[in-house]
Amino acid sequence: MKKLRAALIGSGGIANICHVPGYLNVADRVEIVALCDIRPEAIERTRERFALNVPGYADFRKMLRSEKIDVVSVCTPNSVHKPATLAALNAKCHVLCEKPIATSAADARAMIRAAKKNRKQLMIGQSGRYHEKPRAVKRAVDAGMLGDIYYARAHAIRRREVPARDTFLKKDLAGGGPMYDIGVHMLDMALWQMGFPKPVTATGVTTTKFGNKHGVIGTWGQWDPKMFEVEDFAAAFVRF
Amino acid sequence: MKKLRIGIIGTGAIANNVHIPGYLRLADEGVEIVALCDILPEALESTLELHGLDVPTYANFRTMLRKEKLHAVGVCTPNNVHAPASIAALKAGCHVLCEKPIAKTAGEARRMVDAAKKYRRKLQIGQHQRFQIKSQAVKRAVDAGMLGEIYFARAHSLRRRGIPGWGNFISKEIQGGGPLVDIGVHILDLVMHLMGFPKPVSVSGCTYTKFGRKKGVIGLMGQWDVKQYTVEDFAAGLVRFANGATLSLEASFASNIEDNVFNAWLLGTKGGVDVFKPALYTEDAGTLWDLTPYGLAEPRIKHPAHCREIELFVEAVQKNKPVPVPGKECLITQKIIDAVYKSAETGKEVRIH
Repeated sequence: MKKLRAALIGSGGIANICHVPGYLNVADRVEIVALCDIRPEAIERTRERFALNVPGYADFRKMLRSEKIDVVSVCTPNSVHKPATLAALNAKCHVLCEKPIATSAADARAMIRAAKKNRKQLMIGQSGRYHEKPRAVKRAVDAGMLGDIYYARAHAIRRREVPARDTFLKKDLAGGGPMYDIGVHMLDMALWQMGFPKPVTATGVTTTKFGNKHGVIGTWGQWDPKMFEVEDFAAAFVRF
Repeated sequence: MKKLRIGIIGTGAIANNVHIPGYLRLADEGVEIVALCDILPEALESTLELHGLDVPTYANFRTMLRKEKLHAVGVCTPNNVHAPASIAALKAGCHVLCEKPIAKTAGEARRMVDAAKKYRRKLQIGQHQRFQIKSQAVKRAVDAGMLGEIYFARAHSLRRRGIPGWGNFISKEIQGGGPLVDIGVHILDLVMHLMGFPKPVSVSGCTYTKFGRKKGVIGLMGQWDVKQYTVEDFAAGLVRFANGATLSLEASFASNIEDNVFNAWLLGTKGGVDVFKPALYTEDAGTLWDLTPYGLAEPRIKHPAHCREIELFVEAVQKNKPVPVPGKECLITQKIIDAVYKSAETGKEVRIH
């Protein structure tokens, strides 16, 4: 089989930790052919770390135009998921976009439409589904070992692990705080296990009690409280 | 000390296990059980025998209230009799210690609270979890400001296979509900107490009956009649308060979980608490701390929290002090409970006024 030509939009943490090594792991079937990031130093770091001798771009549209690409990983801040994914799909690439899918349901819907229109795959990086334990649980659910699932609790709760980066803390980049970043993992997990029942109502709360305060301990580094525009706690009750 | 003549309405399990022994140990304080009432003659007989009591007995609480000169009454009946028995006792000039939940509905609870006010008598509700030594340590921590502002709480009272095989606990008609009113009310009351009874404004809830009506389900608390089972066996809700705080509540008689859970967790701006561990999670002087109490020990008596509840009721009556669990607080929790059922029924968030 011909090797898939893969490109990355965004070469920050998740690209370097997961996507690039993931593609290199299946190098018999995939080759990374281009990188894109608005920060030249991020591209340089990724090239160096993985000994990748590939072109780097600051503008994903330019990359999509200039390179022959089959699949794109979108590893940008959340607010760029939609434009990058739409551009890639419209350039006839399949897309693996990081979670959360987007920063609004309307954006998510536009991405799904674009995938359908261009007849390309759109997959979201809800990586939690590929761990052994949830897979065993999913088999148990599918085999009927739980019967009718009538209630679920989904928790993603940290004590002080606040990501000290603007991409997680600024509303226009992240869309939201822990609900978007880590809550979505457990929400996806619960919905997947439950077989994606149709939600009909949700009632929720968000609070910001730590992020905008000075002097709160950050076990993942110190963030700038002035930059903190998202919630630091969210809870909700969903009916299906 | 002034003599205190006590009558007991309902001489079932809770009367025999905690109320009667609780009063009997206060004999030196002038407390005396002088009459018993139950609709079941055999319940009266076994209670007299169990405690070596030689007192008049009644099938009708109104007759007892008319004939005996009582100062205070313990209401230990099924839930549907809490309101009529309490109101009759208050009207007869008695102070009342009524078992939890306060009543079957908030409407009944309101009439009880109004009657206590009208007849100037004390109305205490048997929410004894407040008198656990761990609850009291947490309450002191909250009051001392160790948690800061409490903005979220989780209250769980969950049994794996604990549908009661005795009594009336599976009857909606008699009890008003299932695990939510029977055991959920304990943890709900405790959390509300710890949070300082914020005003609830809306509730989203759900209830399910997945075990109670099925034949052949294991009963670790006895076997019940599935045909008589009319209450939920699981309930959950999300409660919003006027002060911005939120509470997540769960209660079950039966659910497929590892272990029974009876606990509450509070999230505050300065500290968080695991109530029955107990532990306080905080940040101070540049360090994250997990604080655990040292030397907390319940007195070496049977049912220490219930004993404390009865001591405080007696003290409130004898010294004319406020009761520790006033009816008006339990009216608020009853409004939340009613709203969980209503929301479960309608599928909508319910406003509380």
